[in-house]
Amino acid sequence: MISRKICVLGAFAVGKTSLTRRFVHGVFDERYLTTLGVKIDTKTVKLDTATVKLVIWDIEGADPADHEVQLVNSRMKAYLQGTDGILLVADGTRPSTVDVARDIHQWLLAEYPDVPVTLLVNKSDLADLWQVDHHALDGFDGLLQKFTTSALSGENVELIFFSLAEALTKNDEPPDGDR
Amino acid sequence: MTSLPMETAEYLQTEVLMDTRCLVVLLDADGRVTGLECPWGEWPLAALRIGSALPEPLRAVLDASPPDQAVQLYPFIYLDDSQVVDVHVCANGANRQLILRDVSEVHQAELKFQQKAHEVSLLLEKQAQLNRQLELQKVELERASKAKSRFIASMSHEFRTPITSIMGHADLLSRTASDANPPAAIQRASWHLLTLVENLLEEARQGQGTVHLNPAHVDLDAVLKDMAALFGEQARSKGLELRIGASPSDASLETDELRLRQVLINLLGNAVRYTREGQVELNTVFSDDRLEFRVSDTGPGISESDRERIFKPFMRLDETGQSGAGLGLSITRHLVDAMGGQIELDSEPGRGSTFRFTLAATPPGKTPIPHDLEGLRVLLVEDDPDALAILELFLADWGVEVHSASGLSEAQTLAGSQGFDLVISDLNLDEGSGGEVLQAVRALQPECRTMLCSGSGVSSVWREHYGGFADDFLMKPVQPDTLRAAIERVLSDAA
Amino acid sequence: MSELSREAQALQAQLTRQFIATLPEKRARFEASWNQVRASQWSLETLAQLRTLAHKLAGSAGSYGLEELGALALSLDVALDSAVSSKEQCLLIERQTMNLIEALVEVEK
Repeated sequence: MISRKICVLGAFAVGKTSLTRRFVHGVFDERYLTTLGVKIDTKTVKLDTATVKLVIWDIEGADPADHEVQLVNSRMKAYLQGTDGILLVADGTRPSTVDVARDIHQWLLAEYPDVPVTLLVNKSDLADLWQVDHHALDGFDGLLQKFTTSALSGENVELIFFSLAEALTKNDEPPDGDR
Repeated sequence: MTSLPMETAEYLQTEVLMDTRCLVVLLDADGRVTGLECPWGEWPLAALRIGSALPEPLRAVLDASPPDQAVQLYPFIYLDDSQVVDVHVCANGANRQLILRDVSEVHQAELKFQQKAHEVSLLLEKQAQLNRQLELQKVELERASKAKSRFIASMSHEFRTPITSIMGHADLLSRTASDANPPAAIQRASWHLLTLVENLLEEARQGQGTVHLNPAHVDLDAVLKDMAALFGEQARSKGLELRIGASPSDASLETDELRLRQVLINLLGNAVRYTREGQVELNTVFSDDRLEFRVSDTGPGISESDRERIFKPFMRLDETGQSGAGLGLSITRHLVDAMGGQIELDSEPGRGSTFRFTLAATPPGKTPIPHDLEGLRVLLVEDDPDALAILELFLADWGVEVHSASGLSEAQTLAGSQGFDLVISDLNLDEGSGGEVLQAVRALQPECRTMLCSGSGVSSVWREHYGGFADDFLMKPVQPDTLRAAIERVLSDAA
Repeated sequence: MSELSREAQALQAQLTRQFIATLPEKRARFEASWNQVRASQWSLETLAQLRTLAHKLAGSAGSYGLEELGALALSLDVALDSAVSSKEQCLLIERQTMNLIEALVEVEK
């Protein structure tokens, strides 16, 4: 079976863990519990052309206020090795997280230029608190796709993983293409 | 390690390293577990069994590690919610090995710290957002409030026009009707309405800006009689006694009648509204060149703590369905200050209240000695020959040197070539308006006194419009005694 | 009238006679103005002219001892003061104009 590694990156408290858990386990917890390190989950998805095992690396959030380390710290660099695709997550109610996403993307363009990146602006269910408009998402060149998502309501959650999975398998040779 | 003293080596083994849970996992080429070694004690990780495949998430870590690297460290890998390990992937020899080190405790401690730090960060962000929102709301509120004030002010001005018309008609009626009571009642009610409109305008301005005063001789008797009539019925229906003292015969008052009425209506209105039984009194006393007005009631009284509060704008003492405009004391104080007085309050809860203020007044005997008008130079601007003839007749009889013009340009020519002590202009001229004439003459001769003459409208409202450049007003048709009195007044002001 | 000297009072009486002598001419002007009002179907310009006439008479008649005439003129002036939009207003003005012209006729006699 084909297997692909996807890393979920972004500023802290944007909903990386919530999105992953929603996709893999179908659950949502309102509480914010920070991730330190990486949580790895797998889910097999059936596409038109193939069945793919997605290995999802839910990586700890970046903190721009921590000046002692780089935005993409050494742990994150280790986790990113060998990744096939990236989900870059921002929080639609906190514009500062879009700036963090932009900085991370810049780093990715330098270090992993050939890896497809999908940008997600999460928490779309919080319409009253939404602060990010179209123009705020300028300055991201070469993204695979952009989506708004909600781990709470489920909006676009399946879609993003499936889309990325499609993109990660479309260049494969017929069925016996395996890593 | 052989260089260590045995005791230290033992200590290292039993105390230090024992606390460190480590597990070595030996793998074959397919990533299946071929061996498990726990150097310091036991550590049974349920899913790891010799012979079975490497479980997740370790499998994922193994797959991801670069094959060309001898050692790769993956810190803080979650095995489950409570167990976190560092995974060292070693590619030495034909196959690979994993060294797992339990870092759950350290991870937990750092996690708590990070959790708090992030929560604080999020709270600060939220606070900044809320502050921004508040700022926007404040700006919006201010804008809306200003817009409302402007609206109220413009509406108040609109009200004046029909009220003026009513008063004009009432004045007319009073001259021709056989029964003087209805017109007098209309005039009284119109005054009342006018003062309410003025109050509204004042509230919209919220006590900012200067009050325009148009002082004139006040018929105090008429004002007091009107107050009695205005509030008599209301007081009677509540079972209250309304006592309005007679005006002192030895005092002559010059002030803005409209403002005085506003103040008295406010004070009496409150007294009648808030008193449940007993009486309400308005008394005037003249002493020391000041006329004191006293409004007292046997109402609930006002406590020390409420005292300052009630003079604040838009303040109402109790919101319980009391109809009417409420206290309005902020406006009252503003007006009394503008008129040269100061409002004072004597009150105790349970003992009623008395509001007092004084205005400058003179004993009638002390009115200025009639001016000798001989040689006074007067410019008359009037285009109706009939009105002009009469004015010239009167003025000539008093020895006044009269020059006349029929419009704005003629007036400007005359004022440009010779000096005048006084210019009297009709309001409605064929060429130009009275206001323009007075302004023009004022510009040419700042020392010249000015008077506006008009046949319609309410003088106090015209005062409001033209008070800026007319020193006094004259109503047509002109009678010699009012003309004389007005001229003398205007000249004594100048002195 | 205590403010006036004897001579002035006499002069005033003379002026009054002169004033009364001008009344026929004033009446003619009122009638002409009124006709213009009706011909123009109550246009604001002609109404303004009528008002000016009434306003001036209101301001002077009283000084010549003709208080009632002045009161009628004032009443017309005030009626014309407000915007003329309603029919009642028009009828009122018509009535008052006729009254004034009649009164002028009376005084002439």
